[in-house]
Amino acid sequence: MKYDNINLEKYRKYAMRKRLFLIFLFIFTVFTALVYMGIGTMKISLAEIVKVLAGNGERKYTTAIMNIRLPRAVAAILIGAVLAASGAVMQCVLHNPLASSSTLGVSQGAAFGAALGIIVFGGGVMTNANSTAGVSVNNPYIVTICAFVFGSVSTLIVIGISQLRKNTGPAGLILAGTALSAMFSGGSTLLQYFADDTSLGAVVFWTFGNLGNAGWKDLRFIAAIALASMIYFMFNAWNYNAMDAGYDTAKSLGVNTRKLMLVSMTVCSLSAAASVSFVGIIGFVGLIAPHVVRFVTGNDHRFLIPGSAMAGSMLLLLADILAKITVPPVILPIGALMSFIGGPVFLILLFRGDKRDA
Amino acid sequence: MLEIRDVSFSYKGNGYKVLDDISFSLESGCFAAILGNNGVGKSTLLKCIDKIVRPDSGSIIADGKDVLSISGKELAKSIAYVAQDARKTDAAVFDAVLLGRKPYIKWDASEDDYAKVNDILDKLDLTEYALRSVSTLSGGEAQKVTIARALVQEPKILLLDEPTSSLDPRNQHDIMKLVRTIAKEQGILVVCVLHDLNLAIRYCDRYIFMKDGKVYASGGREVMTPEIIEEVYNMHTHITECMGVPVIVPFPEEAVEHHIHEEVR
Repeated sequence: MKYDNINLEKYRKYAMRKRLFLIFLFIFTVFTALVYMGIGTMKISLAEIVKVLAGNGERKYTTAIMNIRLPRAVAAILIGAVLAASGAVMQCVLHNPLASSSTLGVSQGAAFGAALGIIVFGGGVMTNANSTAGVSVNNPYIVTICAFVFGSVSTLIVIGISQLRKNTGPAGLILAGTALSAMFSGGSTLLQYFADDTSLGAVVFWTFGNLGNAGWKDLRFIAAIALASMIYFMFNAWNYNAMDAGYDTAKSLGVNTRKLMLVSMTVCSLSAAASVSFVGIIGFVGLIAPHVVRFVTGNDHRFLIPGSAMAGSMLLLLADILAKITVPPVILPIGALMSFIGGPVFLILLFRGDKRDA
Repeated sequence: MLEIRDVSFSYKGNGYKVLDDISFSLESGCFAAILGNNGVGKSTLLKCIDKIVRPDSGSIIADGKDVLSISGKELAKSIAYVAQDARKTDAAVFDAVLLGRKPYIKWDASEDDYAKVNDILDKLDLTEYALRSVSTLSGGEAQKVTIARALVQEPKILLLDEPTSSLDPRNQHDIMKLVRTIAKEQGILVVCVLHDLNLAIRYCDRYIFMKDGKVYASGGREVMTPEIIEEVYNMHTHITECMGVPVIVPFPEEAVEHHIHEEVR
């Protein structure tokens, strides 16, 4: 009996390590966010930032932080969290480590929608609102709505197909997503072919990705979506663990695998499309963040989902710091930067992962 | 305990009946083998019993419950299922077994759940592996983990789909012995799809022979005859005993078969 207790004690320590990892991630993310807000053309010290957040900072700092830097940081945190958590969930329900919103057509669909909004529905009147960016899109809501509609549509079509043909497996869903991605990429190119220079510039600029695009009003909307999807994901953490043991095993444990897969995919694609539609294409977060966190938590979704969300937030914050400090005062496009760095990082993870499995 | 009446199943689209009016019943504490050729519907039958696939018609009563009308969660408290090729999980053994408490868990695992996992690990000699990743275990140990997961579900019926198919001979016997002990000691009904007739005759006490989607024969040791085996597997066999262990010797080649017939005569 005593031996038993030692064993349980060991398991508790093991679970505690994962909890500590989450706490560490949380503290580090908050710290990164604070550092993030200090970086830019106007340097702001950590102490000053804390003062501003507490409500008694200097006026010029308060303006900079409350109007520009804090919303940008919140955008990075929310969008990083949504993309990463939905990536982790998609990888689980589809049993495919390459599943994420950017590999299942959400990004390409959103880009097509944005192109459509700018070129066809005239959301593309250019203004010189931002000195570093040079161009921005007037009447952004048409663009956002189009991006959201087409971002969600690709996954919804995929899910629709799987509903019509009941025996479509996860591999079928992935392939269908790839096919639709290709279609939307082609569609975007065709639209761009007929666009005038200014609209073309706006489309290309949108696809770069820009966290500064989301204002407080947009952020409240994104926050509501992020919160709702996180609650759904966490509520199903045990179901995802069961799914991970195989579909038949999950069914035998009482999980309605079909419903879980369809609802999860819908929640993932809608929330990812909603985030992406405000800030443009940001890929790879949904792939990299879960894979990094998995090294510590394994596939235990009780820890993997919140861990991925925080890692995603931190990843976007770090990427945007890099975007700001590489060639100041120019802020590099975060989406492009993320993919540029994300690709090699993912390769490293992939081959390290292989070695571990062998 | 388990009563199956007129269960039929066909995959949508082709209308071909994989299972055709299957009926049989089994009691608690039995270790039953489902036998038959590849593609005869053994695995499908097992999946029907646990409603992993839904039969087109028929009824299944398990542990006094109507399987086809109760919720998956309720069913999971009565029937546990071990798939043929369980996905290699990188979860720790303890977590992989804890998953078996899923039907009882509302928000998170309770102290009771942890204690039960601990007991099962102890019983199956898996304690030393508790925190190791399942993917680093040998085939035999990994199979024991999936059986532990099924047992911690506290089922009345345990369904195993070819539990020995990827194991070396020693582990095959260890697993079969373990499962038989569980059936006898805890009074659980174990239903097991098997390809190895020798394992079946040695460890199981009920046999269900399937042919062309139907039950060709079912019963105790009395149905394990060369005649029935020949009809089901299209292969001549000789059943003998070696040091008290029943042994089935196959003679698939006709030439040998004739030779044997000569000798016997």
